[in-house]
Amino acid sequence: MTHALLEHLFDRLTEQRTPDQIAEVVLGAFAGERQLRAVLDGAPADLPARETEAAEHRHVFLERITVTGFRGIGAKAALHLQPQPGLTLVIGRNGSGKSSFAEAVELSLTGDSKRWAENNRIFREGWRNLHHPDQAAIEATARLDGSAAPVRLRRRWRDDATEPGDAAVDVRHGDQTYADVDALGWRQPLEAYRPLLTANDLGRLISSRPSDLFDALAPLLAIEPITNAESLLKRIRRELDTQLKAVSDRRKSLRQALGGVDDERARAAAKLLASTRPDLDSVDRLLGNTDDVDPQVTAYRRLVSLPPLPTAEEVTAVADTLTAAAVRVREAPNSSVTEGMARLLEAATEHYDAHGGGPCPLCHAGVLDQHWRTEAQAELDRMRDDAAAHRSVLEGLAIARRNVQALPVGPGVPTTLPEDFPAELRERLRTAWAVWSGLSADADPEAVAAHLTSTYPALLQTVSTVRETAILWLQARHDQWRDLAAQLQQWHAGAVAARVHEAPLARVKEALDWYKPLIENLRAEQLAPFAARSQQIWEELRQESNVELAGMKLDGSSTRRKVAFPATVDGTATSAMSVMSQGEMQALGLAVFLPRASADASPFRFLIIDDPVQSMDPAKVDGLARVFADLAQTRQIIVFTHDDRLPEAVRRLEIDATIWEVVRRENSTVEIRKNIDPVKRYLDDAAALAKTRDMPVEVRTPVVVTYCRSALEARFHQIIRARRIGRGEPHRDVDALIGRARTTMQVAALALFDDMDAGGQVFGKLNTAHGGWAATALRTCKEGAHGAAVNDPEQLVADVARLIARLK
Amino acid sequence: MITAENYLTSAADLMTKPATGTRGLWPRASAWLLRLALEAALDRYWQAMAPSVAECRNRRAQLMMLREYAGAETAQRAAYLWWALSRAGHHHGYELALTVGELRHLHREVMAVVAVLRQRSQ
Repeated sequence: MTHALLEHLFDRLTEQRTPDQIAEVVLGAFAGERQLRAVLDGAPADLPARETEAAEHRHVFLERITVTGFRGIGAKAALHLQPQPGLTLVIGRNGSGKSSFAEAVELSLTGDSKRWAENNRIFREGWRNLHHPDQAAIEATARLDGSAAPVRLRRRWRDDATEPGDAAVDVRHGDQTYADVDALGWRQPLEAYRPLLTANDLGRLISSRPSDLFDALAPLLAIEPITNAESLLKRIRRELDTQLKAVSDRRKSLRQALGGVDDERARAAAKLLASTRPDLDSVDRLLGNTDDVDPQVTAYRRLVSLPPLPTAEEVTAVADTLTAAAVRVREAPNSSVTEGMARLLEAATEHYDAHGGGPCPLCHAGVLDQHWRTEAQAELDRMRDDAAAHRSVLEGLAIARRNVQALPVGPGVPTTLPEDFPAELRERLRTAWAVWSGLSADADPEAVAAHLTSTYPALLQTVSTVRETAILWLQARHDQWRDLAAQLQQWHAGAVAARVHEAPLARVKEALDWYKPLIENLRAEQLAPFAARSQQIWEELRQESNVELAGMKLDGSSTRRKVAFPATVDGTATSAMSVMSQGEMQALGLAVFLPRASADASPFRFLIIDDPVQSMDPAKVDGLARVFADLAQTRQIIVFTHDDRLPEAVRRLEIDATIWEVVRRENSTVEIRKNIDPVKRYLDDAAALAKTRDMPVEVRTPVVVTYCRSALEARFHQIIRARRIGRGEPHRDVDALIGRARTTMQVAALALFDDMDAGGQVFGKLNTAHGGWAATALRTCKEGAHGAAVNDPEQLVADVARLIARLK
Repeated sequence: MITAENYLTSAADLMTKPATGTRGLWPRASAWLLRLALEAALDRYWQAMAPSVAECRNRRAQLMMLREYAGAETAQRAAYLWWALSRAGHHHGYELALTVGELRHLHREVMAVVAVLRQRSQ
């Protein structure tokens, strides 16, 4: 099936010209999770190899159910079944213990299934028979078609066991022992086809959630590999979605946080994050960007980075120097007198040196002599020294003034402040600066010095405050951003990682879109045969119901999956479930579940139905009997019922069936006796008709003979089947063989000699083995039906009955 | 003599039109009429096909004989209907009367069998 599904996928992919991108995901999902992930990661997927046809399960029939100390059965009781297609009815009053057999089979087959145990709480508590608390055991014997050795499923409980699950399980097929039923490979088909229909199962239509019914029917379609692929894709989609969603959610909250921050970078980031799919490169650049683009920040930064102002001490020192220089200048001799005297003395000494001594040319009273010349020279030298000293003092003042000019105050005082700078401080700065710079440079040195020392401290302090304010502002801004930047960085990393998932997610979504219609179509196609069969059964069962069923449909998926039964009531469209009576529901349940339980693919050729007639209208019973008769052509149908209408309908409609009657005596002792089997039924009818004295013997005898012959043939068939199937021949072959044996003699030869062509020896064999009467009885049945005279029909019936009893 | 068809019509009337004094009785009465219709058809059939069988008062024997004369399927249908109608016509403790749907089904079946028997006997 898997292979066929894969082929189907390839066909659709080609047909729809699905792009490789999608096709790879479709096939990867089909192949499994590992392969799908490989595809999404960009690696090639290795698809499963072509599967050889799955080994066909061997058909399973039931042969015997033995029950001891379990449920309604105390002492050991066994129900014998023909391991072959056919209808078996097990009838008994409510409480006769018949259902215990059905439950024993169910437990034997599915007892290890946890789900089953959970759903059967009442059963779990009341499984042990109170009248027979020791040695509780159940055993189901099954036959595998084509195998001579039976399969035995046995469960035995210790006396102190309290749970049905505590049993010692023994599973054997011939010499082989298995750990449990699952080891026989029955688990999956048991769940998919469930060959056990209890009233509970039938009630499921009414009581269960729509999804349960869906789950019960879905395995029938055998498209799990494809629905599994879809589920896998959905899971991956959820996974990827979750990751992308987390990033998106984080983006939204981060964007909000950024919006609350007065920072150019935060604003830029918030703007980037406004997009549902932000440009991650821009975010990265923003995070990496240390240069401020904000003019305001630049202004603050400039404030902080202005050159430091000279200290107050330095300025005071400069002022002191200026004052000192001024004092020295003031205290120095008047230099202009000194210089005139010096020039006069110089001219006089030059005159003396050139003309020699004599009377003073100016005053004529004095005499210029050597002595005067020496004194004059000394005077002159002193005057020169004074002049030099004076020059030096002036120089010092000039330098002191220059030093004032050179004080590095201007560059350290901000000329412009950021717009949002505190106004009070701005005003203080402006005033301090105005005061400081309000002095002309050539003013009196002492005044200048006083100005310096009196105005500088205020300026210095104001500028320092301005600088500190700027530092604080920058600091606050930095702290806010640093935290957000860290978060943004984290988000960015997550977003980059998640963005990798975007392309795979898109592909997964497209693959899902691709699968959806495919699955719907497949479901419809695969369901069609079952739906048709259900329809048929419903038609048979519905009788005069005015509900007309228009097929069934498996709808939706995941949590919305359901089974839909479109129907019309007196021609008006509606949903079947809403308009049906309980009896009709039960009929619908049978119509739905019988096709499942008898699916061709199921290895289980038996089908156990517990109490199907419960709430069914009597008129539907003949329809039900026909449905069972039809199924019994190819299936071993075992019906447990407390209602005598079904067996009666089976008898009246002359449906071949074996009927067991279960009677429960005191202490849960259960007796089973064959109520009627086809052989006996034919004989009973033959006997009744033979005794009908008020009908002329020549009229009734041919019919009596017909019934006798049918009885014999039915017995021969039983013998042939039992022998050949016991040898391990497949049912199909045995059926075909019996079908080929047309005449009574061929059937007899097959039964007696295992050889269809040995008809010539049949009478001889009967003669020697049982006596002449036996051969005569068979001959009469063979010929009398074609009009040969029969003297005593009652004797014939007696002989045939005797012969049948002796035939082994 | 009342024919099978008369009985069928009466049964149908009873099922669809409420008649005085039939309140609550009509389901069983209808079943009884249907059974009479089936028996009348059987009598007519055997009169035509084998008068000696018609004389036999044993209905089960008559029904079994159908297998030989009218074929197994008709025999089965007739046998089942006769049983179902007999059962419905008699009182059974705790068993409820037939619903109109069931009766309609039985009516249709009897009508079909009556028609087959009539056709076979002509």
